[in-house]
Parts: sequence; C-alpha cells; structure tokens
Amino acid sequence: MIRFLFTIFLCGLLFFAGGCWDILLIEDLAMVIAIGFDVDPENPDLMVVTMTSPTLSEEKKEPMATVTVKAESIDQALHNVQRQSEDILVLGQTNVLVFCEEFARSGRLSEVMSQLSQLRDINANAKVVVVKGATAQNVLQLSSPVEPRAAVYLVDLLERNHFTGMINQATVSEYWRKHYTLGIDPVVALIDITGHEDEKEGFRVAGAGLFNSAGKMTGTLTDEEVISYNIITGDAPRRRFITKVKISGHKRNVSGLIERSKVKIKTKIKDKPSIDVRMELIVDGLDADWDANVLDPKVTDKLAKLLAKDFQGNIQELFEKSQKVQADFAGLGRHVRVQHSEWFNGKDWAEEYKDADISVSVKVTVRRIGTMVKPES
Amino acid sequence: MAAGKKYGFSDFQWVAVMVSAILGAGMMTLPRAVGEIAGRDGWISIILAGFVAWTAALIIWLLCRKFPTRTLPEMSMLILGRPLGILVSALYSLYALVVCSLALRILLSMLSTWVFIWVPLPVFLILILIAIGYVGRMGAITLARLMEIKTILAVAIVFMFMVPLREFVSLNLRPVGGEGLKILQAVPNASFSFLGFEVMLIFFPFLINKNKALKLNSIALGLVTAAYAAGVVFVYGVLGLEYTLNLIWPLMTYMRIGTLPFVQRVDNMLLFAWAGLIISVATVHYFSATYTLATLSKRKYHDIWVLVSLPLVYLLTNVPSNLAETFVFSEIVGMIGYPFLLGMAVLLLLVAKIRGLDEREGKKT
Repeated sequence: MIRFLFTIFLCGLLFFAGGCWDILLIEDLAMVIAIGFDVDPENPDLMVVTMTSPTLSEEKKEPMATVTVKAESIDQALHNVQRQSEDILVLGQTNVLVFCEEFARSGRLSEVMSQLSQLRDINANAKVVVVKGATAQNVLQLSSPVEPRAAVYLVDLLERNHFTGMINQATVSEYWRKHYTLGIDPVVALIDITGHEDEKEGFRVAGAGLFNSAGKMTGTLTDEEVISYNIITGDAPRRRFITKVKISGHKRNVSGLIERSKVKIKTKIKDKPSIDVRMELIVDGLDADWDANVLDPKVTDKLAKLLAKDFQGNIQELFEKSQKVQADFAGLGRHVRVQHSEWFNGKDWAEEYKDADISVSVKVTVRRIGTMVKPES
Repeated sequence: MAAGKKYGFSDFQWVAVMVSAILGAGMMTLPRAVGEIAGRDGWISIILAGFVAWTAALIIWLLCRKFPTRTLPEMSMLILGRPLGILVSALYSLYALVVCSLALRILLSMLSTWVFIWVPLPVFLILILIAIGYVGRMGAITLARLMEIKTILAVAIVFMFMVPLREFVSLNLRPVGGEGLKILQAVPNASFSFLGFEVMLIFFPFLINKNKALKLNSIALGLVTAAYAAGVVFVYGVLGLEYTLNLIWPLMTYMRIGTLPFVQRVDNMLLFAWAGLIISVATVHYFSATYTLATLSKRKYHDIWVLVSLPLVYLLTNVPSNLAETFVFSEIVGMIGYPFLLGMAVLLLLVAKIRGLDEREGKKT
C-alpha cells in the first residue's frame, strides 16, 4: 500500500517538473529574428520598432511576418507587437538589430542597447547594424531576389563579410562591453540599400559607424577605412586589402592578405597624452600590377616599404578622423589607463583623446608575391 | 584471493567531496563581489583567500588528526563535555543547514532569473529537496560516490568556460597589482566563498588514507582556488571590469558570449550543469548537518533526521524575501561562519591540549 501511494505521489510530482510547467511549443512561438529601430517623425519621444519572424507554417503565404509598432521603450514595443501577434514573442533567436542612422546619431541606440541588456532571452551574439540613408523598416521589408527573407540575407551578408575582413565584428555583447569599458568606444557595421530609386531590393556593407563614449554615433568609416580598422584591431579572421601605390611614377594596383599583425602601443604623458602606435604586418599573396621581377629581393623590399608608407598614411588618417569625432575605436585609452593609471583615473578620456598626439609607424614584411615572375609583362 | 576493499572514502572521493562542498553558487557572483573592492586585481584577492582557507582548513585538520575516528559531535562532547558538546554540534548543524538553504536559494534565484521565470519556486525547491533527502538517506559512501561522478562530469564545464575566451582582452586585467591595499581588503569577502572545507569535521573518520588528508585538502582547495581565480580572470578579460560591476550574475552574462556549432546558448548549458554543482554543495552540507544530529542521538535515526530537517531547509530557504536580501543573508553567513568555525576548532584544540586528550596516543579517550 505504501509503495502504491509512493508511486502515485511520484507520478503526481511529474506534473510539477519544471519543463512541463511552462511548456512552450515551437509552433506557438514567434521567433523574432530581426528588430529594426527608427525615429518616429511625428513624435520624437517615440521610436518605430519593426520585428520580423518566420511564419513557420506551410499555410502562410509569406515566409516572414513583419510587424511595426510605435513605442517609448523596447519593453513597450514588445507589448505592442505581442498584441498583434497570434504567437508568443521570443527573442532568443534574434540575429540582427538594425538602426537607422538618425536613431544612432541621436544616442537612442545606446538607450535601446541598455534596455536590451536587461532582457534575459536576447541573443547576446546578435549583430548590430546601422543603415545609411534609409529606415530600418525599409531594410526589413526588402525582398532580395537572392533571398526573399531580408533578415536572413542581412545576417548572412554581415557574417560572410566579417569573415573576409570587409566589415568589423559588431555584436550586441561587444557593444555592451565597449560602451561600459573605459578607454574604448563601440563601432558597429554600416549598410546601405542598393538598387534603382524605384526598385530598392538589396543592401551592401558600407563601412562602420563610430560611437563616442556617450553612446552617440559621431562619425563613420568608409569601406576602405574599415579594412584599416580591422588591421589595427585584428577584428576579422581574414584581412584582405586593395590599394594603389605609386611605383616608378605610376599609381599601381596592389592587393594582398594580411597574414599576421602585431601592434605595440606606447604612451607618454606630458601636458597631453602622446601615443606611439607601432605595427608589424606580415603580408602574403601580394598581387601587384608591376612589370618587375618579383623574385628579386630588392623588388620585394621596395614593395614592402611602399606598402608600409601607404598603410601608415591610411591608419594615421583614420586616427585623426576618430579624434575629431571623439571615438576611440581602437581602445588606445585602455593602453593609457594601463601605462598611466593614476593620470587616467581623474580624466575624461573622450576629451583627452581629441587632443592626443598619435603617431603611427608601420613595418611590412612581404612573404610572397603572386604566382608570376613578372606580373604585368 | 583478492584483498577486500576498505570501507571508506578513497583519495579521489575525499577531494571530490571537499570540492563539492565548496564550489557552487559563489562563483556566479564572485567576479562582481571582489571587483567592487579590489577592482581588476580581484583574482589576486581570490588567490590570497585560497591561502586563508587553506590555513583555516589546516587548523581543522590538526583537530581532526587528534581524533581520527570521531566526528565533530563525538569529539566536541569528549573535549568540552556533553552539554557544551551538544551545543557546539547543534550550532554546527544549524550553520550547515543554513549554508544548504542559502545555496538552494541562490540556485532558485538563478533559475528563475534566466530560464524558468514562470515556474513557482516551491516546485523546484520541493523537487530538489526530495533528491537531497534521498541522497542523504543513502549514507556517506554513496554520497562520496555521487560526488566523485559529479566531479568527473564537471570537467565538461571547464570546456564550456573556454567558449567565450575568443573575446579575451588581457588589457582588461592590467595593470596587475595596481589596486594596492584594496587587494587585501577584498580577501575577507572572497574567503566566504571558500566556506565548505569544514565538512572535514564530519567526514574525516571516513577517509581511508588519513595520513594523506593534508595533501588531499591542499589539492581540493587548490582546485577550487584555481577555478574561482580563473572564473574571475575570464570574466574580467572578456567583459571588462566596468561592465562586470554592473551585472548581478556576471558569469551568466559571460557565458552568453560565443556559441558552439551544436549549441547556440552555451549559457543555458552551463546553468544546468552548474545547478548540479550547487545541488551538490547543498547535499554535502545537508548530510553533514543531519549526520551530526544523528550522532548526537547516538548514531541512530539518521533516516528520520534527514526527513525532519527537510521542512526546516524549506523554511530557511524562504527566509530572504528577495534577491537583495539573499545576498545580504549570504554575507552575514560568511561573516559569522568563519569566526564560528575557526573559533570552535581553536577552542576544541586548546581544551584538548590542556586536558591532554589525543586519540592517537590513547590518552583518556
């Protein structure tokens, strides 16, 4: 009898098992895979939030369901979208967050990111992207001939281009970390919409957005500058460059791979911070439109020196640009903090960064040039 | 004819029980707790706290060594007399039950924060208490075997910790030693996370190779110190100090970064694995408490003590009304726990010395 009662008791307990208490069937979920944020033109206190999720049903005509609402906060947006959704909203599969440029420049992106950090189910590895000259809503409603699901296409685009070194890595968690950490500021990927004026149907990576310590997007990097950014920060698995260098009086196309980069940063404090950035780059698979014998060590050395000069100039310009917009994208402030922590503790780094003396020196070692002895013969 | 196996804890089981008694909920919040005082040098405070814990464990070992076949209640009644011995043992039991409750409370808070938001806490608590009660009734050797298996499984957790390391930035930990005296100020807070080694007072008689106890304790505390310090180094290196200090559960946020090809949410995997570790902490302390109570009642009725103590743990777990109170409660237990345990061990050692009590020499025992 006792055994029987015990068995009944145990069976009864099964009803209390955690997983069964709050069971959620996948068919009942609206898995938001992308969220777009725009400024509301009618009321500056509100934002326009677009959420897109796969329909997961053969009966539905469209592969994705997109809902747009107005809200003051992300929580309110979730409430408003839920009111229009037949399924339960979940954010665990959110792979990309799209912000319009105005939204990012106003500093509201940072507010939203802060709100998102409090949502426990948000995917911390979701990509963050700013769209130039269009709204996030437009981006999420595009239907590319390649992939009709704009959010899926966008995620693939960002992932592949990060892998090949065309854009920087910009994820939700990286934004949080850089925003909070002293001496470094966030950088997010930038895209724009492509196609004819009346038929915009695709997008492309277009550089990166620089944020200051207050969380406002204050500047942008072009797609060429992003390559320099990736060289400095080592922020992409494969870094490929294309440039033009002046050889024997002619501008010649040179491209190659950055196999390895080593960055040494030394700082001094006089009346203002003085930062010396020394880089050593190992370049491989170099292609140059030059009628010279690439097996001649002198040719290799000459190319290495010319490339070093080119990189040095580009990177120096990049730092100067970032100083103007007070966005320490490379985290030079962290080096100043480590090397002069007492000085750093009492300072507003954003202000100090603006006036810091930054000098860049680059040394390039060319490991291998193309596959032809005389490439342009 | 093969020699019969000795009945008791093997060396590995001893290390497993010691590690299981210590390593649990503390790690989830330790990066913030030490970082608030010692900044980015928090990991140094943890290593120093490891030495403090080792010293405290040494004192307890000195006591246990004198009475190798007696558990705390038996030796305390022998040394201090029956009334004081019962008082000391009862206080220890209460302390162990409180530690058990606290571990469970932190586990429940974590689970309800990150995954099971809508599941009522009593449901989890009752299910876990049933499991703890069941293990408790099986006896010390079964407990040791279970902890042995769990410790081996915990190796998987080490690999999980590596997933976010791609984002590690050593600058976040530098300059090393820059916080100066604050490193020492954080040691007491860090030391609280090492409480648990005192279960030696109960389990020492079960250890087969008692002459190796000091070495095994050092290994166990070394492993725990390494795990805690590595946890803090990883979290600071990946998240940065400033962000870590803004997080209630820094380790969980750390685990949210990075994915595996076959597991997208590594944080959830860790949570379930870590739940096992925290339940182990609770189980070992629960067993210590009930075994002490059973020993006070002449080593009888352990099964009954296991059952009657469960409602008490349930009530104690519900004492803090919210998360903030849970952390305050946890600090209070740490602040009381160390002086109580060390005071008790030193008192017992001194009185035993004065009274010339030493089981090894066969004096008056």
